[in-house]
Amino acid sequence: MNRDLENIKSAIEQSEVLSKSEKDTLLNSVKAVDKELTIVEFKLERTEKVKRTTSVLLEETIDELERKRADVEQANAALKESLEELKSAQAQLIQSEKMASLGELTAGIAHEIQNPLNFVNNFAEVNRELIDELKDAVTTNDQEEIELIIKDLKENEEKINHHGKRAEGIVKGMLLHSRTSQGEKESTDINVLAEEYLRLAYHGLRAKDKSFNADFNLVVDENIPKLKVVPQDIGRVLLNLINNAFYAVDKKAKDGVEGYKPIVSVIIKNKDNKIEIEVKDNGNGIPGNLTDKIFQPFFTTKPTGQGTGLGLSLSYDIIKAHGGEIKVISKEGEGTEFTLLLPY
Amino acid sequence: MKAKSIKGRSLQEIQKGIEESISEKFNPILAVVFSSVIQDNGSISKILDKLGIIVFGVTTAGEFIDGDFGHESTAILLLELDPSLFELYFEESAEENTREKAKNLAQRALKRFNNPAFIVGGSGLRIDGEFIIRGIEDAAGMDTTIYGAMAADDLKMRETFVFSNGKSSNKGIIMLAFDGDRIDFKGRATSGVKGVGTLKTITKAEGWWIYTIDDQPALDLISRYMGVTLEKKDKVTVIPPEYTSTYPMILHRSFGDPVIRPVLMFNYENGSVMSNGSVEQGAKVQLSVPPDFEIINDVVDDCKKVRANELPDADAIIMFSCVGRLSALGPLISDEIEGVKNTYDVPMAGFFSYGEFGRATNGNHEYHNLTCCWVAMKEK
Repeated sequence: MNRDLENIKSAIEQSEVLSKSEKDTLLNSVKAVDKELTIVEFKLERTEKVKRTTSVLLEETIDELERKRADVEQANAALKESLEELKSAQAQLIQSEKMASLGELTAGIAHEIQNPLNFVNNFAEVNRELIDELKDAVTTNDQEEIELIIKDLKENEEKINHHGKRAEGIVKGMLLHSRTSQGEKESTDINVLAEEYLRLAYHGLRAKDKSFNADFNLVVDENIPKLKVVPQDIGRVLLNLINNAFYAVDKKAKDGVEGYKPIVSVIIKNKDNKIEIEVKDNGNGIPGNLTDKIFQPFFTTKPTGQGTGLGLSLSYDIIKAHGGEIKVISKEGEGTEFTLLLPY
Repeated sequence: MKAKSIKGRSLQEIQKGIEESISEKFNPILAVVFSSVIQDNGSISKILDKLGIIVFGVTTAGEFIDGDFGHESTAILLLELDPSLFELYFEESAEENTREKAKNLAQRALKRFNNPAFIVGGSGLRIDGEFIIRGIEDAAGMDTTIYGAMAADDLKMRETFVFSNGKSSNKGIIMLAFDGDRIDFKGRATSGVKGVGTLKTITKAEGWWIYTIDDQPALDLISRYMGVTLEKKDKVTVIPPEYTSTYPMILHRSFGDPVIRPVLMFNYENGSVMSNGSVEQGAKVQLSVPPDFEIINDVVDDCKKVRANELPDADAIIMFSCVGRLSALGPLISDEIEGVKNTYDVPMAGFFSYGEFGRATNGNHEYHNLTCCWVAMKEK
């Protein structure tokens, strides 16, 4: 019992003034106060203990959070590293895809270069003959003939120059196509770009496979404005879509469908402040359950070795990067229609 | 069933209490004896044995028949009931293969009763109570009634005993099986200990010893949390009970409900801590704060609800309260005991134990610590 309470208790017990019943009442009260005091002291002690415990727990929690933060930072660093590796792998894949499509272009390019080279050679040959004629005219001092020949020579020279530049343009385009660095946007005539890549794709396929035969059809819109795009990137998308279309019609033709006439159409339209480019084929179409997957990287329906599975995935990324849209509608057995929408 | 409870601090006082209880109107045949290790329990058993009374005896760390609990004394619940309603089993050596031995005892009970209800005691310092409860469940199933506690030794932490007529063991199990079809048992296990902080993982454990928590030495965390620095006398250092009981861990195991486990010892050599039972490696552990004082009201309210909804009347009550509650609830523990006793106002006996068996509300039977388990019995 508390010492002060003991004194009070003792005083009550020894009192000669208080009656027995008064003493009992007071002693009971002292006992009750003692009990209350014991409880209060105990509660206070418990509160102190809990206070200390709470502080330890708080420190523990802070330590744990600190550890978790360090773990998260470590995980972040690892993720960053993985991201860098992924980016690098992606860049390599894109480059591989570019080189693969360049391979597809090679035959078409050779065909395209052959035409201007023929012109250059032919006009050079003609000029050589004209020079011989010029020598004769000088000898005979035929001024009229001399002027006529010089005029022809000049015209032929301009033609040589024109076709030489055309060949140069094709080679430049090929180099641009294979370049690893990001291309810059430049004002581009989509009609010309589409025609160029349609021809390259067609002649490329023809050069590789003599049995390949399909019609193609280009509908341009002369009223569309020039677009600020990265021409080699949009060219890559067009090449990819056109090649796929030719692949589809060729496959159907080789399946021996009676009365089938393979045809690929590229249609360019001006539509609500956007340029719409449709690439249509009348091949076998894409099975319904696969249309959701065709833009996924590494997805291909072509036999092993014939497709990287990256073409449409990269095309999707390129069109998105230009703020555009790429859509596909396909009917099994009837054909496929890809639509590109590029905003002005 | 008729019951009377007595308490005494000496053999003479106890003998007198027993003799005065017995009359023409009350002829007990079973005694539930909760007695301090310093009492002459062998002699108490002999007195009861001579009177033809079967003894279910467990040593304690405090005994009570009401809110005025005793220390180093004896509390006895004398029961008069039809001998066909119960049977007592004793396993003297259960330190090894505890689960199997508990199962064997329960199987013997199942041969006698279709639906046995168990009151069990075990030697607290040598036997893992977890295995006792799992062994009984192995034989009798998850829905069987199990209440009881692990024997104690006034916090001396040396030897704890279970005893019966002419038998005593410091590594034994004592089991009372009642006919559950003819006697109703209703009770609750309530602790009030609350988990705090985040769940941590026991990354290395073996038997009762925890080596690492979240890959850090378990001793560092637990000793810091307890705020205790002990003199490193031996390889293994016993933690004073005031720390043990105030700062238990809450174990979230891969099976069953979360359970409370106090930490009993430190090993300063290898940085491990010893729990009061086996610990599963990989289990989650949470630190805790002692129960709010309101828990006493919760225990008493639970008892009132059981009386109102499940068992309106009882013939007797047995209560098992963890010795840790004495440290955690201090003088208020009397209110808890008194509250339960007064709810039914029938004879009661109980003791402060080293681990309790019982079913929490909506929970499974578990081996608990820091818990108040009580059970009311009523012959149908």
